[in-house]
Formats: sequence, C-alpha cells, structure tokens
Amino acid sequence: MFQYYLQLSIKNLKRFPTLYGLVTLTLAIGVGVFTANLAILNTMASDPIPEKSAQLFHISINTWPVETNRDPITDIMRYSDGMALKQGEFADSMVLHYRSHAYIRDAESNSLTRFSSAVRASSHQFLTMVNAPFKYGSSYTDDHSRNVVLGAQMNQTLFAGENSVGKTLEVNGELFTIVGVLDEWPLRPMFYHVHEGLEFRGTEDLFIPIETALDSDLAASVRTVSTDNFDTMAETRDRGVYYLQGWVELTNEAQKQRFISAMQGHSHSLKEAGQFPNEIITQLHDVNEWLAHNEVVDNRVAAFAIATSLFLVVCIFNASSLLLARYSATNFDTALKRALGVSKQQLLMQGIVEGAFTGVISGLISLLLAYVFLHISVMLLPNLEYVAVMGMDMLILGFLLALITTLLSSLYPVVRSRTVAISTELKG
Amino acid sequence: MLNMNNVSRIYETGTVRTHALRNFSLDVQEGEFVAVTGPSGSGKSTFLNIAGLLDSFQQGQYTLDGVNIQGLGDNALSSLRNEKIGFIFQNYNLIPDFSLYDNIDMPLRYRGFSAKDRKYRIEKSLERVGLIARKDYYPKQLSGGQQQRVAIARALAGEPKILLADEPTGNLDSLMASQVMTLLEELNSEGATIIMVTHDPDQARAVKRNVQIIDGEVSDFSIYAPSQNLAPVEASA
Repeated sequence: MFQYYLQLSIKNLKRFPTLYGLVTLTLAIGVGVFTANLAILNTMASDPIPEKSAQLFHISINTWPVETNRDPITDIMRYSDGMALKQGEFADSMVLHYRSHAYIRDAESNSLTRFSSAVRASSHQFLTMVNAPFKYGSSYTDDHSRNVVLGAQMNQTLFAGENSVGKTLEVNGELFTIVGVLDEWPLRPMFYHVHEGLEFRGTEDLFIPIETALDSDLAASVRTVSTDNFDTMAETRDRGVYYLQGWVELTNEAQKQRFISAMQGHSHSLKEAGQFPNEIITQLHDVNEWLAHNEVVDNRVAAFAIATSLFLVVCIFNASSLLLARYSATNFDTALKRALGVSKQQLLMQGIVEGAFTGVISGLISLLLAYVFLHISVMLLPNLEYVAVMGMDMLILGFLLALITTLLSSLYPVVRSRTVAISTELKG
Repeated sequence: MLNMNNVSRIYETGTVRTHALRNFSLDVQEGEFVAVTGPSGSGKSTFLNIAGLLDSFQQGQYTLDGVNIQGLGDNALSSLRNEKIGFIFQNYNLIPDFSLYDNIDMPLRYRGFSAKDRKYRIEKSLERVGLIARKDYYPKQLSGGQQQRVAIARALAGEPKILLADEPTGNLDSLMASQVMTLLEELNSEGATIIMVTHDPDQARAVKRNVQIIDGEVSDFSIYAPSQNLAPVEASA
C-alpha cells in the first residue's frame, strides 16, 4: 500500500501545486532559519574534545603580588608559577602555552615571501594532550628543541600539502626543523584559548616549544598583565608577567585533589614568603566548565535561537492552516473513499505518507535555505565566520526537523478530514 | 442478505428530535431487486446510509450477509463496506483526476488485491458495462450515462453481495436512464441483489419488489400504482 499512498501523494501535489508550494516553502523557511541558528549555537556549545573533556582542566590560580580590591587575575599566570606547578610533577601531564605571531617561510625556497602566521608556543606535551591530529610526523619532544609542528593550512601554503617533515622553516629569521604536520583540525571552540575572540578563529599555523619561543623572543600576542617591566620574552621567566595559560590532564578525583592541594600549597608558600597578599583562589575547570565559565556561547545567539524556534512554531501553524484548506478541498474524495470502504486508519496512513513526502521536499529546501541563511549571517556579522558551520549532524537534524514539522502540520487536517460527513458530501 | 429489525435513527439538533427511521424493519433476500420509494424527507436516504454502513442507528438490529453489524469498529465496518457493498450514486461520484481504470482500481487497492487480480477485475467490469475501450479516459470525457456505467463497473469490480443504488438515473435523460436501468436489470437477472432508492414511479413499477417509506416507517400505503409483480410489503412492528 505504501507505493499506492505515494502515488496518491504525488497526484495530490500535482493537483494543488500552489498550495503545496506554499506549505513546503513556509516550513522550509521556518526550519531553515532555525537550523542555521541552531548550527551556530551547536558549534558554540559543542564539546570540542568529548573523548577527554572531563579530564582536561584549566588551571586558575591567584598569585597577584600586589594588594588589590580589583577582580583577581586567575586565568593567566606567571612563568614562575606555571613552572613551580609543572616541575612539582603533581600530575602526569601539565602544559603551559601562549599565543604568538611570526613571519615564516620555507628556508629552502627561492622565494623570500614570508607568511604571517599564528603561533602557539607550548610545552611539548601540549599537542598530545589536546589530541591534535597528525598527518605527517609527530610532536616535538623537548621544550628547548628547535623542532616545530606545522598546521595543515600553512603546510598547504608553503609546501603544497606535501610531507614537509625534515624540512627547514625560517621563523622570524631563525631556522627550525619541521618534525610534524597536522591534519585539518577544525577545533570549535578552540577550548585551550577562549579569550580575545580566538575561540572560533581556528587552530594555529605553527606550534613551537615554549622555552625556544621565549629564547627566540616570540612575543605574547595575547592579554599580558605585569607588575615588572621586561624587554624580551626570556626576561618574563623570572618577572611578574602574567600571560601563560596552564592546562593539566587528571584522570581521577584523587589526582584532581592532589593537584588542587599543590596549587594551594604554592599559594601558601607565596603568602608565607610575603609575595602574595591577596585571597587564595585555586580552581580547576574541565573543558566544558571552562567554556561555560567564559560564556563561549553568545547569549544573543541563544536568544535568537528562541526567537527562531517561535518563528518555526508560527510556520507550523501557518502550514497547518494551508493544509486544512487543502483537505477541505478534497472532502468529496475523502467521503467517496470512506463510502467505498477505506477505513479511517487507512486515511491516516495516507495522510502520514503524504505528510512525509511533503516533508522530504521541505527538508531538502530547508537545508538549502539554511546554507543561504548562514551565508547571509556571515555577511551581516563577519564574526560568525568561524562558527557558521553546518556539519553532517546539523544537516540530518535539519532534515528530520522538516520531516517532523511537516507531519505535525498535517496531523490535525488529516485527522479532521476523516470525520467528514460522507452522505452530505456525496449528495453534492 | 439484508435484515433490519426495529431500527430507529433519531437526529437531535438542539432541542429538536427528528425520527428519521422509527422501528424500521426490512428483509431483503439474495437475488432480489428492491425499489425503495417515498416522498422527500421520508427516511429513504437514512435507510440507505444505514444499509450502506455510512450511518449508525440508536435502536434495533441490522444483519448484513449474516454479520451483525452492531458494535463493530470503523476498520470492520469499512472492510464490510468494501467487500460486501457496491454503491451506485446519483452523481456517479467518480474522482475527476483519475482515469476510469484508476477510479475502479481505488477500492480494490485498499482491499489488498494483487495487481494481476485487480487488472482482471477492472477489465472484466468495464467490459460488462461496455466501456473497456475507454479505460484510460477521464470522467469528464464521458457522458452522464457513461459515467454512471463506470460507477456501476466500480461497484461490480469488488463482486459485492449487494448493490445499493441511490437514484441512479436521477441525473440522466430518459434514454440514458433506460440504458442504466436495463443494465441493472441484467445484473439482477444474473443474480445480483439490488436495493434502489428512486423517485421515478416507472422505475419502481419495473422492479420485482417495492418498499415505500413514509415518516421513517415502511408503509403499506401505496403512493404509486402497484406493479404486476409487486411483492408483499414488509410490515414494521
């Protein structure tokens, strides 16, 4: 019977092309706008590293050495604080990192063109900790080495995507050896750095050992707060310059408690030495807590999602009204079918198949419209460029949503049509 | 074949109660051709709707081909309608967007016949009414009489136990009406049980048995001159 129901559905679509056009378009617009907005929200709210988001923790510690009533600085730390925690070996894996910038070129190339590159200076465990995907080679293994890892896009730019492991890279005039090349790494949000609007800007072009970066004076191109002057990045090792972020991998509650104790111990020792007059704050936030703490999901987008969901509801009601008109127009057909022995259940099945068929068309149009709306969103709000991404999950969701909303819209008209007064309709 | 015993149907509109049928009893045997007559508003349509399982009733008993229809759900009633009853309407009631073939095919589809079986039944029934050559035509391409023959073919294709005809010639000119009546008489002579509601005294006279309904009851008051072969009128209780 399914095939027959489908044939009847196609006949009905041909019979009421304008009406069905309006129904599919109404729902496609509603679902399209909602899906586009949901895609943005989904990108913002998604867990960027679900396989270990509960065991990676951002280290928040207050070590500000001057008495103050202002909000404590806890999200970035001094090199000395970071190293005290790292060298204490309170966890199996702890990393420090900061963002920098450099001009780089293939040292063996005849071209002298240097490319502006985003750089992440990090402890050597960093890329392993954040599950960076390698296409060629592997990470550097020494914080003092002159080995670097290249991002996929920059490898494409410099080496046409070829395996560049072993090649020499010139970074701000100094030579480094490439030991690894990353695969495409669309980390959204980029959880390890959610400040300065970088959370959706994409991962860096170049990863370099942190000690080498300091020695090579790769400046911190992030928020830096200091109590001391400094001329070179190397000088920040023993001065009051706050710019480093710390992340630690802790696999169980005992490890977490041990690390918190270590942080508190460090704060107490600073206090006892008279170097820290403020309130002790030591916190660990796992990935999702850290994203929530920093309000990575834009409230305006969330509010717009509510508005678009209400708009979708209005579209469903409108589509339902249109379908009510369509079913009223075929009361005669329904009455005739009933008279000839078609049960209410069979009419319901026919209605569901017709609704599903319309839903498939509506779903395809809605996905197309969702892409258009995403494109328009980026045109109007360029900041959304990196979050306006429609993944396969959202494509499926959008399609299913169109299907469900069409079925919902059809439900009342179909159920109502089954109660048609047979003899009245057939008497004409 | 069809047995109604003390059937009552009351319509309530606000405070007004209308007795469309009161203690209505009728027994129709297999192979009978019954003409049901009566003035407008007498209850003919209500009788036909109840007989065709299109309407319910408040009191009495109704048995169709041995099945007591009281208490049956929509699925069972629909199935009975599909299998045992063939409807012939005054307005033909063909779906304009369907070809003749598809019009006849529709009830057979819902009954679950195989494609081969359906084709055989459709072609046989269209052949029976003399329209096989036009099976791919659409209703609007046919005359009224031809459309009514298609409606008869649709009713016949399911090989029902009983044909219910509601003024089948009401919209036809005399020539076409006569053709349709001849067809119905032929079907009856071949064994079909037919109940026909009509306003036409000549048609009523022409069939084997007349039943008159007045004020929702079977009446022995004859509003038409009796035919030669008038069978006794069933008396209501």
